[in-house]
Amino acid sequence: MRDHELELIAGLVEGRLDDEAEARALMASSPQHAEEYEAQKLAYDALRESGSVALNESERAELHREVWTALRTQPAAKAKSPWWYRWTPVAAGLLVVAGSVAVLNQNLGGQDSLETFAEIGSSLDSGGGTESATTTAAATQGETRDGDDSSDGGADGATDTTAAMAEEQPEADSSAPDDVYSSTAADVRQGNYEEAGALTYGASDPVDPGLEACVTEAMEAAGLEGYELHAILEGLDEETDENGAEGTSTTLSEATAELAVATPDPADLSAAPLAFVDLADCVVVYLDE
Amino acid sequence: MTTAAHDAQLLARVLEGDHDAFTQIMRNHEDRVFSVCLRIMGNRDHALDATQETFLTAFRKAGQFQGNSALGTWIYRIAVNTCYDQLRRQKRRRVDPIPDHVDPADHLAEEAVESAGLRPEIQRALAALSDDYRSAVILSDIEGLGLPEVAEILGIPVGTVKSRVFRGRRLLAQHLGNQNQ
Repeated sequence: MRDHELELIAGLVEGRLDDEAEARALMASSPQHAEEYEAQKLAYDALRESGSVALNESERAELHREVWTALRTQPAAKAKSPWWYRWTPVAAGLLVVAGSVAVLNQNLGGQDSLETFAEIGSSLDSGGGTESATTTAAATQGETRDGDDSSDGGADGATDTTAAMAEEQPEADSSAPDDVYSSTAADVRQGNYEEAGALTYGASDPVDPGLEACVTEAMEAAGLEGYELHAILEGLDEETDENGAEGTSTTLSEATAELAVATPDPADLSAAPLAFVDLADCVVVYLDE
Repeated sequence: MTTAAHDAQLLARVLEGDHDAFTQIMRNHEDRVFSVCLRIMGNRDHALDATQETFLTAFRKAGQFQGNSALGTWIYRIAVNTCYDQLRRQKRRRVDPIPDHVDPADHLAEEAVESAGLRPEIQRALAALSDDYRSAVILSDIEGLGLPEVAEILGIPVGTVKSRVFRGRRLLAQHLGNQNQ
C-alpha cells in the first residue's frame, strides 16, 4: 500500500478527514484496503474505548507520601554543571605548582628541585590554595615530618606527592570510569549479568544488526581481531540526557543499551579479554585483560 | 495562562527550592503518567512504582530541563523510559544466569491480566506488542496525544510514529481477533 492510501485509511479510522469520499472509494474498490480499514478500526475503537485511567484516592495518597518521603532526603534541584567544572580546581592547582616550580628553579638555579617542590607545597598550604595544592603540601609535609634529612625526605616526598595527587583525583570524581568498567568486567566474567546491568548476553539473544556493526567498527578501529559481541549493558554512569531519562540513547528499544562487551573467547570468559564498546560512538572505551 | 506557561513558572519555583511547586506539577501530571505506566506495565502496583520513580527523576533532573518541549512532554518521556527500564529489570530478575532463550512476552501477558479496571483482552493484546509499537499506540490512541507530541516523547520522527501506530493497530487487531476465536 502507498503512503497516501495508508494516510487515507488512518484518517478515516480516526475520523479526521474533511472529505471522506476518496477514502470510501478506496475501500469500495479494494478488498485488501477494506480489510486493512476494518483491522485498524477494530484496534482503534478498542483502544479509545479503554481510555485514560486515573489514580484512585489511596494510590494518590501513597504516591504523594512516597515521593515526599524521598524528596525530604534530597537536595533541591539545581542546574547541571558541565563535566569539566569538577576538574577546574585540580587544573588550577597543577598550574600554580608547575608555574611556581619553573619560576623558583629559574631564580634559585642549582637548588635541589625536589626540595623546592616541598617548599612550594608548604607555601600553598599556608596560603589556602586549591584542593590539589593542599594535597601536594600535605603529602610533602608528611614526608618531612616522618623523614630526617631534608634532601632525602624531599626526594621521597616528591615521589609520594605525585602518587598522592594521583590518588586524590578519583576523589574529585568518585565514579572513575575504569573502576566501574573493571568491576563490571568482573561481574561479566563471573556470570553475574544482573549485577553487570546486562540487557542481552550470550549468542542466543537477538541483537540489533546495527549494534553489531557498531561493535565491528570499534574493533577494527582499535586493532582488535577475532572479537565478537557478547553482551549489551546498561550505561554505566548515572548521567541523563536532556530529557532526564537515565542512561538513554535515542530509541526506546535501546534506551539503556549504551555499552557492548566483546570478547574473542566467549567460551572462557574467566580468562578472555573483554572489550567495552561505547555504542553511541562505536569506540572501544576500556579493555579488560 | 496556558498549562505550559504555568508549568514553566512552577518549575522555576522548584529550582528556587519551593517544594510545594513540585507538588503542583505532580498534581497536574500524575494521572496521565500513571495511566501511561499502567498501559505499558499492565499492573497497578508496578505502574504506581513507576509513577513514583518518574516524579523523583523529574525532581532530581529539573535543572536539566531546557524548555525545548512542554514540561508535560518531558515528564511523559521520563515516564515511558522509566516503565521500560523497570520492565527490563523485572525481566533480568526472572532469568537465571546465561539462559539460551529469554521470552518476556509470556510473563508480560500474565501480569497484564492482573491490571484492575482494564479489559483483559485488550491488555493482553497490548502486552503482546513490542515496546516500540505498544508505546506508540498507547500514547496516540489511548491517551489521545497528537503525533508531534508522541514523536517528542519517544524521541523519533513523526513519520515513524505514524508507521508504528499503524502497524501496532494491525498487530493488535490480529491479537484481538485471535482471542475472539
